[in-house]
Amino acid sequence: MPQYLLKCEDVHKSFGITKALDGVDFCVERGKIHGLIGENGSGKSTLANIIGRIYAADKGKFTLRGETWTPKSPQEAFSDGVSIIVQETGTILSITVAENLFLGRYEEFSDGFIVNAGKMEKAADQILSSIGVTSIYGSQMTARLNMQQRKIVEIAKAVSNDPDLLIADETSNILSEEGREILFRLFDKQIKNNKSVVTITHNIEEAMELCDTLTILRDGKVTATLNKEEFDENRIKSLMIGREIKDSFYRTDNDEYGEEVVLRMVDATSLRDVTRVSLELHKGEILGIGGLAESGMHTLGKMLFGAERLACGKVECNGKTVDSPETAVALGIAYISKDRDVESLAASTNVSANIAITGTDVNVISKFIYSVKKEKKYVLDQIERLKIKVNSRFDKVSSLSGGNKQKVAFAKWFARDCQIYIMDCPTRGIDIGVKQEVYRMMYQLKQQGKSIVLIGEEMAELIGMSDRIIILKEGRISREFRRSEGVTEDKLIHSMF
Amino acid sequence: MKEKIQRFINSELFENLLPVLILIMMTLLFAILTGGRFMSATNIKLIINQATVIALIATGAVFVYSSGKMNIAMGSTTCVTVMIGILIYARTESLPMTFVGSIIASIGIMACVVFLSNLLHLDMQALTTMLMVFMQSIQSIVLVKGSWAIPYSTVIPLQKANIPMIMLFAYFIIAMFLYDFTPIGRNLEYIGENRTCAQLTGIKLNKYVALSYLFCSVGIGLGAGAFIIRNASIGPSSGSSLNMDVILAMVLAGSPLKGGSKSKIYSGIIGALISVGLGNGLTMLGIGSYYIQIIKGILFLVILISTSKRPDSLPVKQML
Repeated sequence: MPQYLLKCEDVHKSFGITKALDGVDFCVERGKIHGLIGENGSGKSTLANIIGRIYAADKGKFTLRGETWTPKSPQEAFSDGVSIIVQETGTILSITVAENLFLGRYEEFSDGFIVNAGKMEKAADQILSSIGVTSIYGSQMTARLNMQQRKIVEIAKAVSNDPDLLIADETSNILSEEGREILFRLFDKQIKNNKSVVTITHNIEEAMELCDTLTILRDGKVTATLNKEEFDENRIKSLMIGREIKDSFYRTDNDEYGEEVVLRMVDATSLRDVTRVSLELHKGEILGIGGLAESGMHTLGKMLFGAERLACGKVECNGKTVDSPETAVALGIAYISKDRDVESLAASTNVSANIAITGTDVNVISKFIYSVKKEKKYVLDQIERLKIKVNSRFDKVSSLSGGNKQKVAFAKWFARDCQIYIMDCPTRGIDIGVKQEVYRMMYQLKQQGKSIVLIGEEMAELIGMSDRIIILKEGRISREFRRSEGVTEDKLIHSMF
Repeated sequence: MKEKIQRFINSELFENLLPVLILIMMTLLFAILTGGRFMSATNIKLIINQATVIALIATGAVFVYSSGKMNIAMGSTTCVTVMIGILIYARTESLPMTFVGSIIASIGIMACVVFLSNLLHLDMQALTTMLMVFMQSIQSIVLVKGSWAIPYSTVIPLQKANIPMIMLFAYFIIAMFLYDFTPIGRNLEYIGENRTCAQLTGIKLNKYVALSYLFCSVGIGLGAGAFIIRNASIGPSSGSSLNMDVILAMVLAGSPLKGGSKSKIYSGIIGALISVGLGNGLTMLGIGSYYIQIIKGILFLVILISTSKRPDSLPVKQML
């Protein structure tokens, strides 16, 4: 008889007219890692957020440790031993790491009205070192941390209360190898202590390896709950999508690219972590950039777009210097950031405004007069082309699923018909169905003679999609690979160290 | 039916109509409570005249506030611009020169602030705070011995010809054209929504922010002109509540102080009418001016709290 830590029965949740969860039953056993898997918008995060009491269910019965459980707030759920690492950014930039870690719990360090910041920072340092993090300190300002480090702070916060149930919502895909190790060590610790983990991921291989049980959601309903011995990748994919997905969705061709150099970086050094890098991007080429998280590859993407100041060297596009995003855009360069919600989209406004913003100089009647009619066409064409699932073009971006948000980030640049696309982790946090579409679009762009810089943390993606791969190590080019069957993940990883 | 109503309430159309509905409801309410006196032609004219100065400045301010920036020196800059206008009149005895000089003066003041901001990499909010203190000091020190004025008889023909109204109408048409029918408004709103993303989309932040302060300064210059026509004089404490009135007008008409796509160019006019109408109606009901200020302050706070309220949950994810 399984020993259940948490039981959710007949959970319903609607957002306006959209039904996010429709009678979901979900049980988490003690001492087990339970995976939640499904397409973008299938209801995984909604269910996780309901368990963490970030959302309230419209209907449903919850039992924790055998007793009826009705927390009124995330704080109450946290006190009851249910911690959630949310999918979106869960830290406040303008305060210290310690203040983020103990947000809502300052009274633990207060003496009357005065909070003892030193004591709090020391406690934060202890928690961080207990999970194996030595490069982040309680006294650091959160704004000084990169996205991965901020996620690690969120992880530390989630485990600071020694929870019985740890929920990680698409956490691993943001983390580097080192960060993943920290997370997976924490999962192991939970299991050893007869506690539980619920993990949400789009990485089926990772889910199959980590989890003891997998619950698959589609359109707000559970399509199956599988135990480890029942795991089969193709079966899981078809349960997720509702149709067969081919094993490989990368390009299989060996198409050549042009000789014309469209973007050139010459001996460029950033003020941060890139040193004397020179590279060339050719017409119709997909150039992969790989490396460890701190290798400087994300900075390199911004340097190519003119968004990162250079200490020396230059970036040129068709003979003109790229020294700011304005010039980059004017030269037909697009940049899709890894940090989608902060750098690629204005999430609080609607889909139309986000797509139309790249066309304010083209959707005009004369030089200055703006055409609302042209704007409408500009936006609707992309919504249709990328099959963005919206009720109307005025839907808020924040209400969309991760995959659809990413499509909006693509759409704003596709609408402008750019010649060069710098894509930093373009498939981060999106499901295999959308991934397949993204790869198809990338290949179409290549066929149209457009050039792509693909910055990626997934080796298989780099190998599968790139014509050439440049590996960065400590801010310098470590090695270059040309597309061939001989390029393996082992070779790429070996060149990173 | 309930779902249709809910959809309409959530729609952009309702959001746009709401300030107008509030204005209509407020007018009807005061008309009933004052036994129709609120709706008399004389009173309506009085409200419109009072609202004109605020509306001119607030219409220009929408450009600044939509980009998420602030200018809290609008009132004090208007007063100093009025002083400059009166000085010009004293030298030239020409009203056209007075108005043109006022506009040039306000543009000059704001251009200096923008230049300093770019030169010293200082935030405009900090700079306009300093500007406000500086301008208030000038007004207090220079006018300590008495008010400055131009002969009232010279402005009477302009009052009779409704020149401030014509100025507001012309400025509003130009502002609406620039805001809604050129890329300027869209770019400013996007900057207000997400500055980092706007920068990484290739929008020239400095250019648009500078432009927004320029448009704002034109509104201030015109506001100063309307002030001269209405009052023909300025004292050490004149226009002390002007800045608050302008911000209140924008907020009352639904333009968020944090900027973004909810900003509306007409919020300056509608908000000025609501703000002045509210004060006028309450005065007619016998409420003292101090209490009116308190009521306006409370209203301002209520709107700020309700528009900047954190959602109950993280952003909603639709199941699509």
